[in-house]
Amino acid sequence: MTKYLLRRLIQAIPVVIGISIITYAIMLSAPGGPVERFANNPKITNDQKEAFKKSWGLDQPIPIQYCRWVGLCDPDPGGLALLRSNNLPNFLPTSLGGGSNGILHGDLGFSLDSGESVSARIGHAALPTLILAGTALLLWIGFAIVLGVLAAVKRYSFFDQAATVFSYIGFAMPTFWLGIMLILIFGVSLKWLPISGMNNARLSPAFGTDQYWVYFGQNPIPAILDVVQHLIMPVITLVVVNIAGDSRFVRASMLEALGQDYVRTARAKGLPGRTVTFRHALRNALLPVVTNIGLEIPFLFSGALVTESIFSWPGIGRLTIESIRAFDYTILMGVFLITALLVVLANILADVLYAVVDPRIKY
Amino acid sequence: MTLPIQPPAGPGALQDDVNATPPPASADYEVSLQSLSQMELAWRKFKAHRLALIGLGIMAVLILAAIIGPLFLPYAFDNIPAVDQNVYGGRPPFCAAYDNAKHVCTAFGLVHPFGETGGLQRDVLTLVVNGARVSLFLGFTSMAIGVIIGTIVGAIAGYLGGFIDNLLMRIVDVLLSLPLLFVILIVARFFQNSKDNVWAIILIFGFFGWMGVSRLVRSLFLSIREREFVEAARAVGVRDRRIIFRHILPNALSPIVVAASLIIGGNIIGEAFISFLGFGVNPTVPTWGNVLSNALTFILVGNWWWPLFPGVAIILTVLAVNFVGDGLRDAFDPRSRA
Repeated sequence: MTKYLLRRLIQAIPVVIGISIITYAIMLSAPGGPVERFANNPKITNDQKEAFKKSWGLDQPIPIQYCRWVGLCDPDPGGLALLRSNNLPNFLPTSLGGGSNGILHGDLGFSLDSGESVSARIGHAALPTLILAGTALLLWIGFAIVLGVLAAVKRYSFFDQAATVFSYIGFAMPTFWLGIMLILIFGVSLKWLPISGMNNARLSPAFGTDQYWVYFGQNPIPAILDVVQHLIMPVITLVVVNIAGDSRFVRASMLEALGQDYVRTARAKGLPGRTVTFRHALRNALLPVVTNIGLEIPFLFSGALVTESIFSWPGIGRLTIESIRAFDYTILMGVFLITALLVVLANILADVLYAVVDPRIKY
Repeated sequence: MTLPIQPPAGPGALQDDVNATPPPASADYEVSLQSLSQMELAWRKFKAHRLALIGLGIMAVLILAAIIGPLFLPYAFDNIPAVDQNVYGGRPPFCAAYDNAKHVCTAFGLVHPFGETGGLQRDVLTLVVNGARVSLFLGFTSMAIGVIIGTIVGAIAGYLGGFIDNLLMRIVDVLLSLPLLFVILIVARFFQNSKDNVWAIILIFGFFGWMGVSRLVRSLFLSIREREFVEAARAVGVRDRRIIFRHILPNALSPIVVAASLIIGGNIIGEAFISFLGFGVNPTVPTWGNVLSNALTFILVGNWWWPLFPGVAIILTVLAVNFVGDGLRDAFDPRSRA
């Protein structure tokens, strides 16, 4: 098992390097990079432009820029400096005498637009995304399992057919369209729910600011209720669209389990139907579901892209959209890298998880 | 002496299989069996799939509407009528006269069966039909590009194997672990300001939509290249390119067609998605995504008919192609019988 895990991690290294190169290439080839942005001001002379390039290391050859961005090279001496002035490799952790620049040291750079550090921007947006995506994930997995199991147990019944139709439509429905229709029905016409944001601006300061947490400490219950109210429509949007695929998956997996010999044996022993369904079939049917969920988690990090931007939810999805609008590549690179790393890790985790929950699988 | 040959008794379906011809009087009797080609067999199974037939029907109607619809509609999509200042929020479906002060429809008529948009007061039906032109064209063309690239890459990787296979599949791994939607959005952003960027969007979806197909094709090639007929072809000295395209590819075609049908739906939703966010097809070109995007600007007026119909058009299209895909899967599956 350890050997397998190690092999998978080593295999992931070229993929991660490839991802970082692609990410970097996108930034390089993008119009409106930092120099252009700086030169937008008509009063900037060519000399100032050169000085700007030099001070940010943009005059260096691209491989060296990449090397510094990753954190392998020390930017201070100029040129390709893999070793620091203390003759230790730059990629070591800062506490061990390594450098402090680059991804390897957790430095994702600064936003081209606002000048804030990228990790701080992403960190601020992470909590709202976690709240939205976490709630949605729990609900849709729960619903998907219940719907899928019921549909499998009562195969070809009216309920099964209805679930099939529902999932076909859910597959075909664009997320943002559902969001718009929900806003129109429950927000605009019925006026039951707030249509945007994460908290009511008349009640409390903007979410995530220090003032908000002071307010939150003073009246936690109205604050939570307020967020929950704002949460309902985006969560419904995410849940409805995602249940479609997952409930099909659970149904197929459950049908396969119900057809196995051990289920027939359990029935033949005279066990009650409920016990057979839940203790014997369901537990085995959930094995592939577990891995499937593992693979879905990284996309939650960025996956609520549209939902967040329709409902103005201040999370990572909206941060991404705004950054694309503003050509803010450093933030995009950060979001990109983190998502891609999560995908790679989730793939490994899913495989490992599979071996953990299914003792028949040996690596 | 001639024996009258009876068509075999039994269920009617068999009569398609065996076509007994009456023996000519002069010759000895003979039974000629009309065999069905693979395509005929597939079509017969496809016909038995009711949803697939419905899907095919919906697609036919939509494509027909996209091609000839704009010729029959009384409005052009870019024709902006003299704006009636009293009808700021547009008019609901089948409403001939609208009382803007009371927000009620005072007279019904067939003028705008899907209603009228707010702002520039365009006919929603006209927008949806014209949007179908771009959206459907985009869905099908980008699918074709993606499937062609994916098939070539997968065929090379699966047929040649070894280092090239490894290299190509690692590239696929990297591309698949990128959040593709981001990449598509960012790349689309480069072309955002060009006036006619439909082809740019098509190419983007084509170039980022081949990885799944290439994995599929590779796995098919891996298994088919070990079969005897490929060995036989190689033994008689057929060149690699001919083996790939004339011997293996036709045998791998049916799963590719099924995958392709599912890609169409994905790309149509994808186009709507990026156009909705404002990075897609130029806003002056009516696509379903652009119509939805514009609808959002008037959402607080509560004109539900504006986003409703383009959305329903997307759902219908994607449902239809998915149904057809399911039907094709059953039709090509040798284990299923019809």
